[in-house]
Amino acid sequence: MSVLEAKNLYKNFGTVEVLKDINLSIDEGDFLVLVGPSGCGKSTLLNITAGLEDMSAGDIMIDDAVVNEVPPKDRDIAMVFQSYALYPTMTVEKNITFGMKVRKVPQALRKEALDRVAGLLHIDHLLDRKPSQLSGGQRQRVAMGRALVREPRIFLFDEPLSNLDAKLRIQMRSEIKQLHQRLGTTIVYVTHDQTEAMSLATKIAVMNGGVIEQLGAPQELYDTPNSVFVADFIGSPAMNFIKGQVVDVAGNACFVSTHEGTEVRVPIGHYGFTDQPVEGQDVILGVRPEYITSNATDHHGVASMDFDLTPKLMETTGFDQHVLFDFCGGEIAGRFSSKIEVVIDQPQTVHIDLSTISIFDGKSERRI
Amino acid sequence: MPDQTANVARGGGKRWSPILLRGLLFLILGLFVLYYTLPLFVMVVTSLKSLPEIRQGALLGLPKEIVLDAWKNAWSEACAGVTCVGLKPYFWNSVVLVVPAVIISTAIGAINGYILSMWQFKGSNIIFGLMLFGCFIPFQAVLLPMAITLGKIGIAGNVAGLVLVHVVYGIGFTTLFFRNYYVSVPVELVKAAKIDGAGFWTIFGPILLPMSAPVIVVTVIWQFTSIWNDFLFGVSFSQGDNQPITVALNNIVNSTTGVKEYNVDMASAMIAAIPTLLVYIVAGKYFIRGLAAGSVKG
Amino acid sequence: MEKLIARYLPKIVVAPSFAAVLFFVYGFIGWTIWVSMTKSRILPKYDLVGLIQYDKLWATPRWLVAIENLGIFIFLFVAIALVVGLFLAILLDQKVRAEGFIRTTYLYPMALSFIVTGTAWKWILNPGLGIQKVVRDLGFPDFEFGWLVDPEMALYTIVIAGVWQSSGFVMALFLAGLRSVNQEIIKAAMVDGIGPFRIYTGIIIPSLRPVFISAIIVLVHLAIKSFDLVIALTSGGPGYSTDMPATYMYAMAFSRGQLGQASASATIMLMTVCIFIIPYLYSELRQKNA
Repeated sequence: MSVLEAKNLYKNFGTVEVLKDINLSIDEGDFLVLVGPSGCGKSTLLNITAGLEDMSAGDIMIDDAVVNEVPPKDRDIAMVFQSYALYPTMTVEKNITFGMKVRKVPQALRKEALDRVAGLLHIDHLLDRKPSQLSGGQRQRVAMGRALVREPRIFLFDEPLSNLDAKLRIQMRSEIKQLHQRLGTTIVYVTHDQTEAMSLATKIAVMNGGVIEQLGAPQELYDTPNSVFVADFIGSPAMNFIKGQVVDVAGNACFVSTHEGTEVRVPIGHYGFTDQPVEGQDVILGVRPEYITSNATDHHGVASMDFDLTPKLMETTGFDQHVLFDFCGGEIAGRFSSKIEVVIDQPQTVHIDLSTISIFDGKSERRI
Repeated sequence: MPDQTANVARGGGKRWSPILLRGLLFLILGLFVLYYTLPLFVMVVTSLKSLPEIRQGALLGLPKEIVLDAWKNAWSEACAGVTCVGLKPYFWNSVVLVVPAVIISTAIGAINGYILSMWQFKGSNIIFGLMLFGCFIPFQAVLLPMAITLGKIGIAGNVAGLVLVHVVYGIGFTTLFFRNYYVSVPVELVKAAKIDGAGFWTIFGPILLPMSAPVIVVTVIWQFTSIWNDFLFGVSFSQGDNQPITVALNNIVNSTTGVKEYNVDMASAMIAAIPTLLVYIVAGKYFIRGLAAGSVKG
Repeated sequence: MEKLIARYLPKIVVAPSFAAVLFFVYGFIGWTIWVSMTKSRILPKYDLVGLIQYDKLWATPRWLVAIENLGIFIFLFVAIALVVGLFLAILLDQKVRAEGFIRTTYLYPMALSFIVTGTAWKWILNPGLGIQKVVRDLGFPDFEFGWLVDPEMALYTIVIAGVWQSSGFVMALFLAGLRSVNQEIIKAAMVDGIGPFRIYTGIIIPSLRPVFISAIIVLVHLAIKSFDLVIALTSGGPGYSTDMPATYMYAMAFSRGQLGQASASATIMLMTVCIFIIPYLYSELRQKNA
């Protein structure tokens, strides 16, 4: 039984299709993150789930019951908003208990729920303050408190951390994660930040142009992205893409990229194609920067290759350094240990681990 | 806030002497202060002079002896035509007219503004546009049918009729103020309230109304001053004892019988002006802030 | 059933006001336009006779004077109020000490009734004991300032009083506009070495376009409706030299018993306002929808 399910969901604003045939389902205790660039439809999907917007077609089901016509207050959900949406004229206490008051929960139960949540979020000392007297992080906690008191079936988060500064964002991120682990609640969480998605989710749905490009566990999306879009969106720095063709498909398959007379051949015989390519098919080879290193001796297996490449740009992060090379008429980035000395314009042996590559069709940009 | 533009002027002072430039600035500003305050000053001093002293001239001079007769006269004795009861009864007419008209039109505007911002539906913008247009029409275009309609309902010539008129033609502005204010309230607030289980009235009452103080101030001041100061509706739709103060003031000032008592005229004008001046001095700051914000945004 | 009411509640609640507006604004406008095409005199008649009231109106010298007056008044009133308002706003924006006090004195006239303003200025401008006498007493015995009683000049006294009442408000609008100009643009211009005069004429004032439009709309609207001020200051005189469409309409409606003429003149006033307001409202509402 799935807690939440979307079936063939469509949403149009006039002639603009914001959501196209969305299908997804999550189970008890799942932490689903909807991630994608702005305008991909992720917030609309969340609002439809909450009942704040109507769908054009399709169904939303909670505990296998269609809730399309059920108003938000009766869906057994709670929501945390990007701007926190705290009631500005009410104290923190009233903000948290307002919903219970509207639903005519007895005073004693309200107090009990308030105390529980305030303790959980460490906001006991703020209960008499107005939202304007709180810091961003405190407002965030109050907004979560307002959601938590409901003990809902599903929590909905709409970019809850994007108004916080970088440090606080990481802190609140881990608190949300801890809350989820502790309470085992079911969460749907919208963000445009892939790092947030990767670190929080048990399941990620990468959205683009109103469709779900890929739905899966974070590691799955990272290792075997379904499309160039997902590969590019997940992971930082982004995956390197090299255009070329597949040859010798019958024998020991090879990826060939030619640029200004120079030909680069990469053996890909070990690659498990899901869609067998034809001879000479245009493809895109994707290699994550993490697998482009300086360490030539670090063989993960046979599937690796060494190149002599010229560094043209270098950014250090402290722990490692991102180095940019010219390669086959394009650029590829690698992640080198910061202990390695990289000199701009001085050729360098670069080791590419081929065991983790992705290959996409050149036209459809889907994984093959 | 104005720091940078202030620096602009300072930067320009390099060629001139900055002190000279500042001096010139204050001189000009000061002259305009005189221009704007002079009429009020003249009104006050004239109202405190005796008629013989006024006839000697010295428009701008302070009264040699402060005489309050003109004020007393204006309040309870001044004649408009043949009735000599001063402004007092008309002042109360205006109070009795303004209070319900302001309250009713503000309340209606608040609810309309709430609906037209938070509960938009197909056609709600057209409704808003049609209401807004109503603020801008010259009221001459509705004067005659209104007079006939008030007669038909049987409230022609009395205060109830004027309350109706001011409420009806105030709806446009009050709705505009509240709508523009509520449009700037984050939509997420309403979404959160819906999820909390709040309905149409619960969102309006406990959540939006307590945060509406600024717009209520703007609307109440606007309605108060425009209804108190109204002349056209008053002179068209009220008769005799039921006239508002502006009409009575005009009658007193333009009364051609007897000697022209300038001091009484000025005292009468002051009496008619004091309520709105007081409101302006007490709360005008908020009014300008709110109004200016609205019109700058467009 | 409950759900149905909940769904339509906003529409149900807004409906009475909307109905009132439809009836009292649009219905009444329709009535006025209709009656302007009848032979109505003291009592309204409803048989349409075409545009004879308009032909008559445009053949009436008093109406032609009123229209000409309105044209002159709108132009001078709007132009002077804008110039004075903008000028004062720029001066006040120079980080002036006592700004609050100065602003208050510039602004308070807008709290007054036009009747009060008219009464005050009528006293100040009266030739017998007003400014003319003050200047003569100062040692200029030949000084003449009798605009109020001069049919050629009386209109300009209305301009003086009107500007006095409204320019402070225009100043407040411009001041708010000046303060909402993006300060980074000004900083960038200063870094580029652009002088203060050019910053105002080239960057700040052009960015005040929406304020200009708002101010012009408010002022034109005030000018066309101007009735109280004329009544209080000149009563349309001397003769009918300061008559305006608003006073003409009132005279026809309530003292002459010429409902047809009154309606026709009201209709023309309405059309004049529409020329300014409709494009404004249209663009405003479009913008907000986008």
